[in-house]
Amino acid sequence: MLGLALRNLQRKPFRTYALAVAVAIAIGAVFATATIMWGVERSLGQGFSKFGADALVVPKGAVVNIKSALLTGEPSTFYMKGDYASQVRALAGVAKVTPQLFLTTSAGSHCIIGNAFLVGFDPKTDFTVMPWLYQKQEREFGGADVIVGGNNNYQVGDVVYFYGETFTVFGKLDRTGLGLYDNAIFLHIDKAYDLIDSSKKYADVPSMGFARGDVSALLVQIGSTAKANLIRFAIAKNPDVRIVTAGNIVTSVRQNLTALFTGTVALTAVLILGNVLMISAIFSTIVNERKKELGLLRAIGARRLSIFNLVFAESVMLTSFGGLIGIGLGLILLRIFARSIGFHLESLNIPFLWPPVLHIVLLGGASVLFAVLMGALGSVYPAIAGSRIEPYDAIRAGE
Amino acid sequence: MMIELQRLCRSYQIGDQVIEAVDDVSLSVGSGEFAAIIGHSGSGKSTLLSMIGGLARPTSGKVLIDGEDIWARDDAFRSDFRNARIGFIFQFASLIPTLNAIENVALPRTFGGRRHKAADEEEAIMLLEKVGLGERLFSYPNELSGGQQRRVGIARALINRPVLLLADEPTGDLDEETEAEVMELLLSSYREFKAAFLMVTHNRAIAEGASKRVRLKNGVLQ
Repeated sequence: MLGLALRNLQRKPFRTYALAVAVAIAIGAVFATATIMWGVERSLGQGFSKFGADALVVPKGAVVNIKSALLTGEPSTFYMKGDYASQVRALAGVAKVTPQLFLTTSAGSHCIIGNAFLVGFDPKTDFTVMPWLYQKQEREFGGADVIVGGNNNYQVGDVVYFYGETFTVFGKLDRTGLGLYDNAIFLHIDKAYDLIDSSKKYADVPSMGFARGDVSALLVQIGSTAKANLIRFAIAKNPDVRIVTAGNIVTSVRQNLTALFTGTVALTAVLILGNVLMISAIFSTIVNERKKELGLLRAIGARRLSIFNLVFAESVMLTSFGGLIGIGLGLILLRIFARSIGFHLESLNIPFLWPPVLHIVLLGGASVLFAVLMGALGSVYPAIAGSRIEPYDAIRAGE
Repeated sequence: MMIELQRLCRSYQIGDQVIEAVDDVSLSVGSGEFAAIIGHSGSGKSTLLSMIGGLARPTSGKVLIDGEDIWARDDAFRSDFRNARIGFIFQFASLIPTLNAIENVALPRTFGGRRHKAADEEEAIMLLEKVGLGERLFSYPNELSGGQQRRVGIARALINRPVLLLADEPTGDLDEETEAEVMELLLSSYREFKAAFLMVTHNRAIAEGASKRVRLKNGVLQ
């Protein structure tokens, strides 16, 4: 029966290939969209899971900026008093608190490179930077050292130059998908204050607008048994700060991305529905066209189920073939994405992490299954209609 | 093997008009018997044959084969019955265009649940050789003449060793010489299988050779 279905498909090659290409376009779109969405989720998910902090305490005006800082690595220019850290640390349920100071360099600020994003952190209390070192020197981190994010081209041992001082690259972080970490250069927070002081001797460097001891954010880890909401309420009592949880940020970004992808998914759904209807219409025509043959098969002993299976198999074989072409098409679309939008995101310092190869293979398999489902759904009506044909009427069709 | 038709009727409704294609036909045909069904076009010959073969449901009456009413059973039973016990030869080129001669002849084996590809093909080759097409085993229907296609159809009808052969004007569109060859083949086949053979024909000479002649006029047995 499968052989007969295959021969039927070969009978009209143009129709078969045209239908297969239509299916391939839909499946290619599904596969590429799903892979990109998975990549975006992974970029967000991995970034925040590596972030290690459950919440950020930031100056009142910095809420929007901090989201931007976390994702793209663009620094926030809002600062708050660092001694607030001890008050937060004292709250019941707070496990760890560490300060970070965000700075930026410019081309004219006596640095080897301009537009670098510097993050001052406290190695004594840190729990979000050091754990993600994947290359480092075999010694303690010191004041003349920096740690570079995964997107930086510096290698461990390189020497860099900021505000008239030289630093050694102590280590490099794994790529996280979180702009703040991937693009930043981390240095000791005390050294960051020293740099600000020393920069004042350069007349051409603009004032940073904050005092020694100020910080850009407090990173908070909440104890596993603590009630996060109670801590949030306690922190929110301070009118000068805001608390931002990782979940808030992921949700906010995800909402924006969801809006972007909902359109794509809706279009893809319409494309698939259109394909199912097209398959249904074309196979109804095919059944009508082969009415006499189907009647003949019934006359020589084919049961109704055999006729159903014949039409069903033909449709599923065709859409499976289309699905396989669709995977190839999807890979081309992904390559185009990588070379256009992906490249553009990289240039904006928004990292994009591809799903692991195994997951892409699984998505490909699922997309082909989707194609099979399209064929199955599309052929149900014509297959039932074909199986219900009265043999005598069918044999006499066209007489 | 005994075929018995009891008050068989089939009517069509066209608008308000009811047309009796077959009207109250009773008949019996046994194994080894050759019955010719004759009559003018539209007299109900093909309709009668299709009801006997389980292809068209009678409006009323019974088709008893060895005492069993085939129209009282379900569709799957009739499909299996057609496959295992009936050989159909149609008045048109009834081959599947995407299959070659061997595949067309072996096709009924696909549906019977008794499929053994190599054995089926071997038997199909034997039958094709028997109908004189040993040289055209791998030819597709569009590569065969009308007479050759009819021979492939006969070989296909014989592959399951039928006990009932039903032929609906099998030589209607063939030249005289080919008609004689095809008839010779059909007659020798039904004798060999000791089958009951019912054939619809316009050809008076062929009908003369039948052991039983049934004339239909406006669906009524004369």
